[in-house]
Amino acid sequence: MLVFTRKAGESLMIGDEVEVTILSVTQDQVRVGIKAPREIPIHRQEVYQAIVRQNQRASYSTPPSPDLLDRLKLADLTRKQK
Amino acid sequence: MTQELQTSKFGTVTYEAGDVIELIGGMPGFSNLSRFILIENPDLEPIKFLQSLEKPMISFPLIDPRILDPDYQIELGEEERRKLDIVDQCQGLSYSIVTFDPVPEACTVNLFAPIVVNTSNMRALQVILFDSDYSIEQPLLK
Repeated sequence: MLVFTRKAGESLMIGDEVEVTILSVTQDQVRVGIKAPREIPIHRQEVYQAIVRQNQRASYSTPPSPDLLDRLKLADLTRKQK
Repeated sequence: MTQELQTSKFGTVTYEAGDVIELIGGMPGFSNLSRFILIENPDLEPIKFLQSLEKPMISFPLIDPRILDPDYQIELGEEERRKLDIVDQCQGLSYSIVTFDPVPEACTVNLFAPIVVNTSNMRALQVILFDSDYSIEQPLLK
């Protein structure tokens, strides 16, 4: 991993288009500002990882058995909606 | 032209070119998969499956989130609208990904990151609703 030491107000460039600025530093928090083209998605790592994990778990799901569908009462909900 | 796909969960399924959903940028964890079809089966209603064409062993169970929460709302950002080429929110269909477990209480639905499909051009996106309070793991059973 590349490591830099920066002060509040200083920035880093990633390629030509992404600028990361340290806005402020307190005892246990750093505020970071990012300027990037809109098509580059930027996510908090833990949120992104949680979605990755959930997607992976869902991809292993086998089709639910009639018994499971029955116990989840989803058919009732669908009927109620209509 | 009708094409066939050999899947691991549903056997051989057939689809037309117009059925193919293009998932822009793939999904978190599956960024290499972008071509899918929707598998519907009356026995599985209201669950549908988003089946990968590129990896026939991969599919995702989906449910219409409004079945679970009639007030469910998705606010698309400008960039998301651009990617989907959506002008009017009504052009979009939304689905939430379900994680099944043999134990009903452990079955969950991801309301935080729904799949939005623009049915007029079959472009889709897994949208992350950062500003919402929706859960990634909402129990399916109320």
